[in-house]
Amino acid sequence: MSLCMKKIVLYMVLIFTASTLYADVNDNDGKVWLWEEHGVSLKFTQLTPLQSEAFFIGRGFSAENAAVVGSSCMFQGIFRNDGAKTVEYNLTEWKVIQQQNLQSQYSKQILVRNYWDKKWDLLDIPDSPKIAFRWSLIPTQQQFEPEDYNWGMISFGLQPSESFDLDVTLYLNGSKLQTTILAMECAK
Amino acid sequence: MSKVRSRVNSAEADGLLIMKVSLLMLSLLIMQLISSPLLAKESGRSGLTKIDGVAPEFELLDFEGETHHLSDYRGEPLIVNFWATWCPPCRAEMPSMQRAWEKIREEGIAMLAINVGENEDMIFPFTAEYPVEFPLLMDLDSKVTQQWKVRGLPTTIVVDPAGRMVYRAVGGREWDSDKILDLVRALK
Repeated sequence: MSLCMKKIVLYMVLIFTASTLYADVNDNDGKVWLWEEHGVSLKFTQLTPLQSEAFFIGRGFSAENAAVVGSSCMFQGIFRNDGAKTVEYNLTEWKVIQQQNLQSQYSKQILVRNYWDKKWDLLDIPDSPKIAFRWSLIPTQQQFEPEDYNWGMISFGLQPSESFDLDVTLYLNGSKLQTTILAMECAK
Repeated sequence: MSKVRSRVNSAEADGLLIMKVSLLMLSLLIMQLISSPLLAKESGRSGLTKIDGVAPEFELLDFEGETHHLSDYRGEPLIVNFWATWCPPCRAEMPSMQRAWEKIREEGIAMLAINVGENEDMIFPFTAEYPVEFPLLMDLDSKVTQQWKVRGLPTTIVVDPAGRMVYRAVGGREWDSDKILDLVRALK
């Protein structure tokens, strides 16, 4: 078999044996990571610091506080359940994994609504932008019945350009499903 | 000569392999399409999830200054949509809610949209772009939204004439579809 044929066959086998799909394409100038399985999809699109800052200045944040958000590795998330099972998640169970060196890695939690609520309370942010911020984030916990979905922002708490893997935990009809989305990158 | 035959045999073998792999791909594609959630979506699901619980009372102003209580709507089915102007799926479903309202307004079914965290000044420009005729209420501190156990926007809850929450949709829907509206009509 020619080398070219071997590549074609390998490519096809990879496509059709993979139960999950990782995409890395440009969409509105941001890189996209997509995971799909059992009709459930998680789509993460990079938001640049400038895009996040502009959005939150428009919601009433000062430029200084919007910059705090902008530099926290924001993505737009779209979580959908087009499958037949009930899907539940709790973002506090998900892990942001970074490689420190060849031998070691460390993990941290996603910055969820409660984290930001406390931060804004300390900074004495007015209620209106604080409420807009809370509701613009992907819910910390959610239950999706078939056809349900949410859009929202999600903050991984890293610096611009940093890369990481995302450990995801979902519950499908109560059964735990774990996966890792590899090589995600915060926008510059 | 034998080298030429060998190349010809190799080319034939490659051709045969391409055909086999193509057939395999085609059959896998057909299998995927048969089990596709997109097809399942059109197979009779209403898009609404059955729930059960007492709808919490509220007192909210609409953006024209009129006060609304949940109890004002006792005795008729009520569709309550939670939304915000900055939320893309909320904006996307608003025209279908208006079309639904045009269908049901004379049928003794009520519809409200509760905005989360925004005031008249923020909502007014939205109504120029997305004109709707059902009441737009303002939950400025998002307390009512939380009491109704809404986690992400948009979420829509259907309340029966006795004041019980009976259906929920997380994410946008085509609200003017008869498949959805017939469920609401059946509550009368």
